[in-house]
Amino acid sequence: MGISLLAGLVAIEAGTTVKSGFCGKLLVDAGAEVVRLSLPDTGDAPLSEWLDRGKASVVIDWRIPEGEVLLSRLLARADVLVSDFEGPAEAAALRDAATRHPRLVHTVLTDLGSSGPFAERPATDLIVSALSGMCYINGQAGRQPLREPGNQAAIVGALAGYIGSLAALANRDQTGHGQAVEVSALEAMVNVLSPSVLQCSYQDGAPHRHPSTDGFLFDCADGQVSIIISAQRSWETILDVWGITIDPAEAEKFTEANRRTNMPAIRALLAPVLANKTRREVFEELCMVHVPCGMLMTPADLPHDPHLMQRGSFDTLAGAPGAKRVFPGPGFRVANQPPTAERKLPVLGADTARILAPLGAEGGLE
Amino acid sequence: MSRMPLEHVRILDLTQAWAGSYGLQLLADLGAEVIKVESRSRPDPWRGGFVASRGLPCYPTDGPGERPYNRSYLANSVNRNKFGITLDLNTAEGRTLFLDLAKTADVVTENFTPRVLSNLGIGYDVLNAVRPGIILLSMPAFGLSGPYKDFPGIGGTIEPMSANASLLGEAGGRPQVSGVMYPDAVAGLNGAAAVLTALHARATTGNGAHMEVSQHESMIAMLGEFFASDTLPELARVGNRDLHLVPNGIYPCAGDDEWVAISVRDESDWANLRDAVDAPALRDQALCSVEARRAREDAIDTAIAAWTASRPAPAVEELLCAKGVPAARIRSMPDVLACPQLNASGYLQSVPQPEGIPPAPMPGIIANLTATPGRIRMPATGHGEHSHDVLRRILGLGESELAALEAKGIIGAGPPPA
Repeated sequence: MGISLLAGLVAIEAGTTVKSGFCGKLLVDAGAEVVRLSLPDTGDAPLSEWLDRGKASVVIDWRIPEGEVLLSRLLARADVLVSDFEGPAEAAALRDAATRHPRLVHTVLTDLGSSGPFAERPATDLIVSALSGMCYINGQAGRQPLREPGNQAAIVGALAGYIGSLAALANRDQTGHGQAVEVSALEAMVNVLSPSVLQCSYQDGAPHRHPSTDGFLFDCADGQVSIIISAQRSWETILDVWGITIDPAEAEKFTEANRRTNMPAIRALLAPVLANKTRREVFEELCMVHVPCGMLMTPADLPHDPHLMQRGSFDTLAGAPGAKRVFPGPGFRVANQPPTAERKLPVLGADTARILAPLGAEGGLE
Repeated sequence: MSRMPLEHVRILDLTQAWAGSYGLQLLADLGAEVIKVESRSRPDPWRGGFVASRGLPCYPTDGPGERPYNRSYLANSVNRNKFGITLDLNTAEGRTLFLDLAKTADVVTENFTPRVLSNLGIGYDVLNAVRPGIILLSMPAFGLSGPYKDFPGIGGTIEPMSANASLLGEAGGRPQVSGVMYPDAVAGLNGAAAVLTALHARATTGNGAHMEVSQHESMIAMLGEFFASDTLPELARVGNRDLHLVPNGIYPCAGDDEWVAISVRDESDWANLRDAVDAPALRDQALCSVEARRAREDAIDTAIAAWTASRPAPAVEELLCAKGVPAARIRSMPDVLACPQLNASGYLQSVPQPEGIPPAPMPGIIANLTATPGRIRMPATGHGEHSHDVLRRILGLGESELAALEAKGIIGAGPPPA
C-alpha cells in the first residue's frame, strides 16, 4: 500500500509539462485522487509512464460551452486544481472556471512567471536552469556550464507547487477559503540556490565553476567512489583503517588546510588501497567508521541496490508489456512504511465516463 | 496584514546544516512559528563553529567579527523567520524543557542518524505520548530502515549514490557533482512537503504521523525520466542534451566565459532557429523531425556553436527570443540579482542581516499564495538568540530560572561558560 495521508483529497491536474505532471504525481503518491484532465486534441503527456501511474484520465474540451459546464462540475468536487497550460485561451478559461469555486485551491505553475517582463518568453527546463544561476556553477571551470540531468528545474517548480497547494489547504482548514497560488520554476530554482545568492552579497562576487568538479571521486577496482576527505577526523580515520602511513617529508601536503589543493597527491596515496577494493567494500568499510562515502551508481544499478530493495524504494508499472519496468518512488514517506504500490497507467480519456457520470453529466460527454 | 497560511503551526526544529534548515525556512516563510533548537556547546555546523572556521570560508569580506557563528552566509541563507534557542538535550533539565515545549507544538523535525532521537529520550513514542497527534519529521541521509540506515551521508556522497553524478557531465567526460551540495536542497523541499502532507492528514483525521525523508531517495525521485526504458542501459553523460528535445544545449559566445542556452521544443522553433543561424549544416529539409536531428546532433551543435561564438550572449538571447525560440544567456549570481523578471515581481527582496551586515537581496517566498501570502519578517536567527524570549513566552519561565539555566550552560547564546 502507498501513503494514504491525502485520502479523500481530490485534485485535478490540467497541463502539458513535467511541472504539473510531477506535482500531480506528488499528490497521487501521497494518497490523493488525481484526475488528469486533457483537451481532446492533445496526445499522451510526456514521460507518462513515470508521472501518471495511479492517476485517472479525463478528456474534456473546456473551451466550448458544453465542456465548460463539465469542467465546472468537476471543479465543484475538487479541492485542488494544478495547471500549467501556456496557451492564453486555455489558461484563462481554467482561471475563470476556478474563481467560481471559492473553496478551490488553484495552483498555476509557470516556467518564468505569470506576469512580468519574461512572462511571454519561450522557455524550457534548460532555459529556467540558465536564468536561475544553476548552470553557471555546474560544470568545470573553463568548460561549458551544465544543467542538472533531466528536468530538475521543472521538478523543483513542481515541488514548490505542491508546497504552495498544501499550505493553501492548511489555510483553508482555518478560514474556509481557497485561493490562487502562483509558482514559477525560475523563482523556485533561485530559492533552492539561496546560499549562493547570499554568498554573492557577503563575499562581493559570483561563485564560479570549480577547476575540478569530479569532487572527491576516486577510482577503485570496479568503478568509482566519492570519499569526503575534508574533515580532519575523517582523514585520520581513513589512514587508520587502511593502515596508510605518510612520509614525514610529504606531510605538509596532507594537512587539513592543504588537502583540497593537493588532490593528485591524495589520489596517489590512496590508489594502491583502492585498486584492490570494490565500490561496495570501500563504501561499507568507510561508512561503518562514520566517514561519508558514496558509490558511483547508475540508474541501472539502483533498482538492484540491497538497501533500496529492502526499503521498497521502487515501484513497478502494472501491466507493462515485456520486462517489468520500475520507477523511483516518492521522496518522502510515512516512517517505516513502504511508500509505493503497483499501479496502472491510465489510458487517455478512459476514465471520462466513470468520473463524470456521477456528476450528472451523462449525455454531455462527447 | 493578511493572515499567513501556516501561522497556526508551531514547529520545534532540531535539524542542522542545509537540508532540514532550508525545508523549515520554507515553512517559516509561509507563517509557521519555527523554533530552531541548537546545542549550547555544538552549534549548527553551517555556522562554522564558535571560532572562525578555516575549512568553511563562509564569512563576509570584512571578516568573521566577534560572533563568527552568527555571520556565516550559509546559516544565514536558510534560517530567516525563525526563533533560535539553545537547549542541552543531554541534560535532564534540557530534555524536560524540550518536552514541555513539545507539549505545545504541532511538529518536531530532526536530521540525526536514526538512533539519536530515541537515545536522547525524545523519540516519536515519547513525543506522541506528551502531545498526542504530534507530527515528527526525520531526515536521515539514507532513511530510517535498510542496511545503510546508520551510514553518514552528505550532498557530495548522495550525488553519486543517487546516480545524479553518473548523469551530470559532458559527453565522454568524467562524472561530476553539482557546484553546490544540491541534494540537500532537494531533501529540504521534500521535508517541507512531508510536514504539510501530515498536517493535512491531521486536520482531516486528528492523527499525527512520523514522516521520513531519505535524502538519498528524494534525490533519486528527481531522476525518474531515466528509468522509462525496459532495459535501463548504462546511460552515458550527454552534457545538456535532452531525451526529447533536439537541439538542447549551451553554446559559447563572444567574451570571457559567456554562454547561451538554446532549446528547440518543436518544428516551429527549429524553423526559426534554422533561419536565424542560416548555416549549411542546418538547411537540410530532412532535419524536420526530432529523430532526424538526433542522428546529426553533433553536426547541428557544431554549427550552432560556430554561429554563437562570434556573437555576444545577450544579443543571441534577444534575437532568438524575438523569434519565439527559447534562449537565455547563462547568468552568474550577480546577473540573477539583476534579473528584470525576479525584480519586477518583487521576488528578490532586500532582507536585513544580523551582526551589522548590510541588508542583502534574498529570494522571496517559494510559492505565492495570492490571498494569504507568506512574508519575510525576521533576519536569520543568531545562535540561541531567542532562548530567553521563547522560554519566557511559551513556558512562563522567570528571570531567576533563566539565569540558573544559563549559568549551567543548558541555554544561552554563544559559547558555553568555561
